[in-house]
Amino acid sequence: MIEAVIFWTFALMAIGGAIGVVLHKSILYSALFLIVTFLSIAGFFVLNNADFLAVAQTIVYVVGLTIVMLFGIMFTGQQAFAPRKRSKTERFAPFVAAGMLLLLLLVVGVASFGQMGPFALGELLPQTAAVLKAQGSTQMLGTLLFSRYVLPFELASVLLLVAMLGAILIAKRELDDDIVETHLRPGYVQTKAAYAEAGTALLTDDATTAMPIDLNATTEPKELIAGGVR
Amino acid sequence: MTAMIEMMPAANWLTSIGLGHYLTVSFTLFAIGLLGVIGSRHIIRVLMSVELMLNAVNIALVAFNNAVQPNELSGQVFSIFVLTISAAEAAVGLALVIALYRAKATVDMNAFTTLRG
Repeated sequence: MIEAVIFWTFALMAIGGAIGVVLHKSILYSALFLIVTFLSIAGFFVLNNADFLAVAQTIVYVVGLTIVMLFGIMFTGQQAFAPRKRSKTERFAPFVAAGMLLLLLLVVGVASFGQMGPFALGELLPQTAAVLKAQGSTQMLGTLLFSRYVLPFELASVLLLVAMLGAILIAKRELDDDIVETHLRPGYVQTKAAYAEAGTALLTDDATTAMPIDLNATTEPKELIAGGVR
Repeated sequence: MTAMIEMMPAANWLTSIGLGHYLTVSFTLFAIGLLGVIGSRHIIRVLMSVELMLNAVNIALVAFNNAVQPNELSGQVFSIFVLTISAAEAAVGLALVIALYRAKATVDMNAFTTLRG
């Protein structure tokens, strides 16, 4: 009974959060809805004897991935898209496609798994239940990962390394030429000198009289920043 | 226990939670994720929807593991691999988003038409 209450609460939260992710107008709120969904899914894991996975889900998705998404949102900024006229079919096609997929999945799922008791979960052997109850699923998972699944495990770590290098390489801007170009440009050196002068002037003279930076010099750093960001 | 649940009247689906419930939630989340992938204009929202779909698969894996083979945790190991790969995918995906933003100064999916014939 208590399990049913927990399940339905998490189910409502997960599906509501997912709908919020897809349909909310603001992308920032979508990311926050994503946290709700991920946490509810961690709850499902706990209900299914997967306590290690629940913790991993919380750490990787709720903390790591959502923060990365939020960084992406902050980096690209919130901007209004150019209005675009869409026909009625264009607007409703995604809903129709998703609905048909859902229908197909449900029909196939019920048809395939109906005979093995769709509303029954498997039974634990007494010794497994004792192990799970005493120390959770972590030790069993670790034994499996380092015995039967050791090759996929190593491959996954290589994949993570490659993905990290690739992400750095893709996201990094081409700095090598730019640094030489902008930092060794004569204007940059002059501007730096002008700022250094201004700084000493501000320190030594009255603040009111010391405004030695001419317009020419002040526009230069802005240009630098704009050129750097591109 | 299993026989007892099967003997219960069908109206008890509300209180006796089983594999079918988890699968229904998983399928629903997967469909909502697909809706987000093909229906939204913001590229980061598309990435989030892909994560939703991967998470739906994770629910199904863990529920099946618990239903079919509860004494062995192979399904959970697969779920860990899905988690790993989705983390890698998110990192590369966001790097691509940032590179695209730098090239086009927008995150609108409709603006990325460079490869359209």
